[in-house]
Amino acid sequence: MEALIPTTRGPLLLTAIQGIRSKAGRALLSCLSLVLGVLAIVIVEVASTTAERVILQPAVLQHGRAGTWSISADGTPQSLEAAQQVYSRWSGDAALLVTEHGATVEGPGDQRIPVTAFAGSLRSVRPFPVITGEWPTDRATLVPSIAVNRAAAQLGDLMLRPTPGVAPMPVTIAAVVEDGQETPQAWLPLQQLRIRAGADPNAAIQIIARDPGHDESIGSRLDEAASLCDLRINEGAQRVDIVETLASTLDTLRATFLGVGAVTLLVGVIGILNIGLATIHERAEEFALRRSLGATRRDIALLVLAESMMIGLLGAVVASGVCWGLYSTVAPAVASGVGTGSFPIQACLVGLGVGAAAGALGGAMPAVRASRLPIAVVMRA
Amino acid sequence: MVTSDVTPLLELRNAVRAFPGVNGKTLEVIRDVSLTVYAGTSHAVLGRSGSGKSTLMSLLGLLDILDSGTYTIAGQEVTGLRDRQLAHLRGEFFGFVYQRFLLLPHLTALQNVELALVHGSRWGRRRRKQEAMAALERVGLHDRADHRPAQLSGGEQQRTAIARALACTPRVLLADEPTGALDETTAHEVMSWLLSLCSDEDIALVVVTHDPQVAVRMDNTHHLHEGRWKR
Repeated sequence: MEALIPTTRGPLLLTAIQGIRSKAGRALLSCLSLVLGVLAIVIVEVASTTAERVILQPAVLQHGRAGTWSISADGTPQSLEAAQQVYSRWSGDAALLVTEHGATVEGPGDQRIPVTAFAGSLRSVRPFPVITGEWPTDRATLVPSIAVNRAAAQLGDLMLRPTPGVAPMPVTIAAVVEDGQETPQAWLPLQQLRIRAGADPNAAIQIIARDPGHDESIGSRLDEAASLCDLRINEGAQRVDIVETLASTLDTLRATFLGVGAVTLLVGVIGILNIGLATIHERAEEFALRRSLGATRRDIALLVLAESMMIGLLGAVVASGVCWGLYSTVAPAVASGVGTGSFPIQACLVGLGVGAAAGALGGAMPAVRASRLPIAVVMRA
Repeated sequence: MVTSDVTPLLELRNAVRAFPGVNGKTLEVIRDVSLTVYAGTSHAVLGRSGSGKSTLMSLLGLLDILDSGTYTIAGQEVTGLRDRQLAHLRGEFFGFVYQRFLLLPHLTALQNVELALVHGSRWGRRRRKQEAMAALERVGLHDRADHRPAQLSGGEQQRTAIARALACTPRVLLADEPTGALDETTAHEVMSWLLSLCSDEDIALVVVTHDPQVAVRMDNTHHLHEGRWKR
């Protein structure tokens, strides 16, 4: 008898679609009952992804990765020498930044762009994504190589004036990077600045360093290193990254809204369950007929489950569409001036998963009930 | 499943089927019933309402299971088989025809016939459609394939239901009051056609009816009374 058992169970999806179409009104109601719940989840996911893009990523680029500490000092020649010793002896990721020196990058129409001179592994601490080109190196070149952000890159031809009163010289834009700033910024290797201008006592020196292991002793180690190298720092080492604080706040908000979404979804699941149970009663004869024609209990359960999951998926598609529409129209108005980026498709994938899971959850009990219908009793009724 | 000429297609022995009754008592609907059905023979099961005819039909068609007794199909014992095995036998061995036709209203005649080939079939969609159309042609309804049940007459609906029962080339056709919802002329036509079909194709026919005019046209007639054969 075992040899006669078939290996395939027929076109489940086709049959499920026929079942949905036969009760289109109820299927629509079931779908609608899920849309709000899935929509809530998708909106939270979209908002969460967008917040990460708009808030967290710029914070990382501006302040450094999690576990970044900083010490600062005045830009005297002695301080500069000492600072170079500090960051070069540092065992982890570290960079030296020099700002407020006399050098400027100038654009058309006498626009002045702040220049930050850097040395060390700056992009290990602030992971600027390179949009085009290659990050400039310390290697001495006839024409200085700089990196600029998007806003500076849009200005056109740029010139470097190493010190006030000196004629500006052409520069090579080695790279356009995303540095988390909306205003034009330029990044120049410190060595390239030093061969063209001496140290400026009015400049500000900052050493940023991080420990991937988030070692809290990094601050005291920085202070000790500064002391050993005779670097007179303005104040003790400060933790400057804000990513963890922001991430924690965002996570709390996300969890709260996801909780609200989950409750809404649960109401939708109960709705689909209710409609599903009512439909099973109406379709008892159909299920009994299918079983008399060779369907197993499992086939019937899978059929009901497939219908329910398809309704859930349909609800998720509708919810994702609504969310996309809201994102396209509302997000630019709300986040005016901040690039929200493209619609996060992964939120839709989460929505589809949630929709299918909600459909499965709501359809489980009707599926079991349908599979247990006594065929003979139903046929006699 | 190979059968010899002498092996009965169906052999029910001392079948008992009981249901829970009132006050915790059990109600025996089928009591010690035996029935042997050979290929190409026709049987009428007569009896009053409540005599157990439909329950017997359900037992024969594996829609219900025995409480005691034995049941062999083509020489193989089927009591104790699992749901999947029973489902496969139902789909491959039996064709069912019901008084109320049981056509799904949202499907066309062709799709309703195709239903018999959907579950457990190894065939692809095209082959299923071909077979379903062939079954409709056998009952003379190929030109009504795209019509839904509501667009068919009672006789046409019953012929569609018969086409569905024949689509999987069954060895046994079980019909529960197949002419009960038809007028006299149409009922006569349907029965004549069913009998010739079974004779031509060596299909066993078991008809549950309370119409003596239907019963007299069968090879064998059995009377059920309160769950037992009436002698």
